[in-house]
Amino acid sequence: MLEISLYYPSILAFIIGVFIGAKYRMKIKNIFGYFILAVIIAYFLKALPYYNLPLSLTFVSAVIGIILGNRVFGGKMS
Amino acid sequence: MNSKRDLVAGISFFVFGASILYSLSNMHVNPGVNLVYLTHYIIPNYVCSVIFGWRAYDTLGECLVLVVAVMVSWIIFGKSLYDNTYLKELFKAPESDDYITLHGWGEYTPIIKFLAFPASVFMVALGIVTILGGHITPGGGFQGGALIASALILSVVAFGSKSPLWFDHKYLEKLEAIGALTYLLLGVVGMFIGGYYLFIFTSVGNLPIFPAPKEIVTAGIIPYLNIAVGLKVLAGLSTAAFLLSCEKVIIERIEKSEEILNK
Repeated sequence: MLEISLYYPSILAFIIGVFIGAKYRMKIKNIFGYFILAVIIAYFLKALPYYNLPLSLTFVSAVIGIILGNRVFGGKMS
Repeated sequence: MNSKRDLVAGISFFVFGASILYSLSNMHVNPGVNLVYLTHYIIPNYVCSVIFGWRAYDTLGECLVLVVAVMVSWIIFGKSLYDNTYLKELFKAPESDDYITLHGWGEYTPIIKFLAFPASVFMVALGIVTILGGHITPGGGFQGGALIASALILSVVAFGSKSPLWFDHKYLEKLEAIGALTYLLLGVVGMFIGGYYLFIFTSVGNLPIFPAPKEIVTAGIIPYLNIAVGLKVLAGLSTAAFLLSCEKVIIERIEKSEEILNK
């Protein structure tokens, strides 16, 4: 069962990531590479204290938010 | 000559590659400060409880100091000293242009650009993590905001006027306003609930204000205050960096325009 208390910072990170990712004026290419690198960094970063997760899900969801915000709302060089 | 250089390059590449492979095989990465926080019982974050629990009003004042600093930067390096419209007319640039997008501005080599773009993405993500973990780890709004602003600075330094990450003026204004208003309004809500300005409340009715594992659910509004401070610092430092980076561009433009006018 999805426990909201465990994933709440990840949701917030995703939202903030979308807002900042929208300000990237260049399209982020090679999304898969970014995702793999994000997972590796998140694994070594570890989760926040008291969040019993194997990796920093907040970091991964922030990167996903940035990429999604960039692909959907950003990526336009004015 | 070329063969000797190739030989030296080949040997260096081999030695460098072998040393990297050797270090990777013996790599031991420390789990970071989070482990220290778990093994040594210093949660809830003592510094954070001082900053946002005992003297949150003082933190609000510190944030406003940053606003004043940015305003002074704006007065010195901004519109009041350099006539923006005059430059735009001279270079036939659209009104919507920022200073920095008037013309191509210097950029670094492809190697730096290749690294700077992904590095800025991960720096922004790390900044977000630092902001959101501010109540339970070292860091917080100020540090996270500074990290995101430094991602912008890295991007601007590497790419010049074609910077992939660019916060326009109105966006920074909005961030600054949202950050300040969130902080002030949370203080007012605390006054209604607890009777004191910036009172840290943990729930509204039965609903926790910041859903978290039960050990740290007492954080209450502190994470939101961290986010507000983070947005303010992000906006403030980005504006200051933007103004200081533009100063050089503007002076160059004025000198060039004077040369054109003198001809």
